[in-house]
Amino acid sequence: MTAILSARGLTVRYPGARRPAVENVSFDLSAGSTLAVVGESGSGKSTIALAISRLLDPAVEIRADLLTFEGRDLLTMDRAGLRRLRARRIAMVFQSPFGSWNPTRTIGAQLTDGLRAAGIWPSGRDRLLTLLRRVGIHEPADRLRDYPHRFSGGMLQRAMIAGALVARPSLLIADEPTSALDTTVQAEILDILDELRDEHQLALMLISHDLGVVARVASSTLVLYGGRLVESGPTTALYRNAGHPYTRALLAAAPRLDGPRKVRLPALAPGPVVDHGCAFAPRCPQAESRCAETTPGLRPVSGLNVACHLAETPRST
Amino acid sequence: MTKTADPPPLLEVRDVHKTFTTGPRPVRALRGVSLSVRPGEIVGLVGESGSGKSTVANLILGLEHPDAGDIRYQDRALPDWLARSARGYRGAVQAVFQDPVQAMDSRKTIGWSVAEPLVIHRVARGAAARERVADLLRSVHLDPALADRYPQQISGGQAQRAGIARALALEPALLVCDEAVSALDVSVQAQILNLLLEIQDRLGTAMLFISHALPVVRHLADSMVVMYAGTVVEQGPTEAVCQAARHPYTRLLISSSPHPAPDRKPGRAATAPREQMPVTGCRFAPRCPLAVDRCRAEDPVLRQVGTAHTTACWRAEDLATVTSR
Repeated sequence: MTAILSARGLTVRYPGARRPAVENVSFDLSAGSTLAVVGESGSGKSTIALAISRLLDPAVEIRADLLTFEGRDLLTMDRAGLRRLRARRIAMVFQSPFGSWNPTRTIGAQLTDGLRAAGIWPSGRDRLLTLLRRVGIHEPADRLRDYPHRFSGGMLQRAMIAGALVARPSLLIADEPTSALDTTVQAEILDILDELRDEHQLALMLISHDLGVVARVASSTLVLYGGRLVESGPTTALYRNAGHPYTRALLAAAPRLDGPRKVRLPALAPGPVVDHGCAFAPRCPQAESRCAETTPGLRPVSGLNVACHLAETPRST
Repeated sequence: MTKTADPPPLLEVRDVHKTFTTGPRPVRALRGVSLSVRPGEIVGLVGESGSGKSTVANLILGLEHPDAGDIRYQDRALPDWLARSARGYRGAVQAVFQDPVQAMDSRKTIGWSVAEPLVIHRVARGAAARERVADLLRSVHLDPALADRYPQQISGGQAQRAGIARALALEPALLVCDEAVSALDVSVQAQILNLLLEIQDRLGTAMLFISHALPVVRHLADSMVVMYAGTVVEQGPTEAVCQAARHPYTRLLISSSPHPAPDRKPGRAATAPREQMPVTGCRFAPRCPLAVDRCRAEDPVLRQVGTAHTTACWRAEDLATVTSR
């Protein structure tokens, strides 16, 4: 399958920052597939989303050998072109359901703005109602007259997804779309995203701090640490034989429903993100002297791409 | 209710009701909730937003008062504690909240915040208080030098440790932890969970650990209580509730929980959204795949389904024959 979104060597630096927020990140995303971007706070995962949609302040430096969407160069595109792209082709859903809506205007008025921006008002209204029903909002024509406070967080997030898809975008970027929601609602929303991706042949980029959440839907996963890609590949392979000590630590640190109870979780000790050598080295339980000296590049290790000097060393567990 | 020679409960919540009437419509937050915490035990309280779990915490902390029912600590009613020795109660029952930075005064140092309960309760002051603060910070694996920093100068994980150090200052018998790890990154969360288990082990502190995350509650808790729409729908030993859940809502929570295993793809997580809570019968019935007429007509009562394991579901017996997944 051909990629609709491609990045090679994407690097983003905020003004005055000691180190880039995103450094030399490459990936491809094709229609009908889901790419998860996973990392803890400060890993650069949200910056990647903002760089793709070019929503970063102009003072932020974005460099890449290649950053294309549907064959067009995102780096050289002018503001009008980017606006059109965001209105029609690239849709986004953010974490905070309440922060994403204006409390003083009705849900309908705000969704209509989106249709106008995409140039499909009023022709897109029927499609909007269909999509609202599709994501689980009953009697949508009535609910459109409601203000956001009448909706629960889960319902706002559903309405946001319906609004995001009405202009038939080819890429949906969802940044922690379910982190603020209850467990059961979270699972429902992820299932809806997964079904819509399938029905509409969407390319879905799912940003999350939780590997367990993305396991449900993502076919491939990028793991970020300190702005750098430390591991990437098919999600199944990542869970089975993660090659990077950071990925393994993330997997081991989360309590699981089928794991032992009341035992010490292998928690990573805190440590600085360093510029020289492997950014993870100060926290890595297996770090050797070469880890502090040279930055490991991504290389293929048992079906995954791993940026670790020690990745091939078989582990005796 | 208990047949074994268990120690008497440290804290008992008995048939507590609470309705909030501040909004346009009265909200029945709790409709007859009972639970107990024994000395040294971690009780997990799990449920979604709006289930009433934080109201339970607020009632126990004396921040709200129940409309009906009792809260008893060491077999003495809470109003009696608050009237006659409020300080004694507040020293014995301490809280750890979700946002540790907000829970501390941003104009005061970490050391000041950790020492504050010692000073208020006249346990220590001056050099003695400083020494005790250093001990407390060390006990939560923080560098005592952090005492001179301000909340906004330290990381979220450090702030939550400091919050726990402050809660431990008066050597409480019970910690009420309301979503204490929910805002943390997974590796920091693991450190705090390890710390809480260590506190239980070393100090014998009992905890009511409230969270919406079932895997976290399961990891920590000796027994657990599952709440839905202001009622307890299931409670019992953690292993029994998680391995042999007898309420459809508990089963839904289990199948919806994030699980790092991509091979397991559960079916559709849940049914239609619940715009309206039913007035009679089981509150979960509109979402329940097993609901029958009786569920919509009659409130289910908590019934014994195993050793110390109870559930409020008319179909618990039928559910036992349906496998968990």
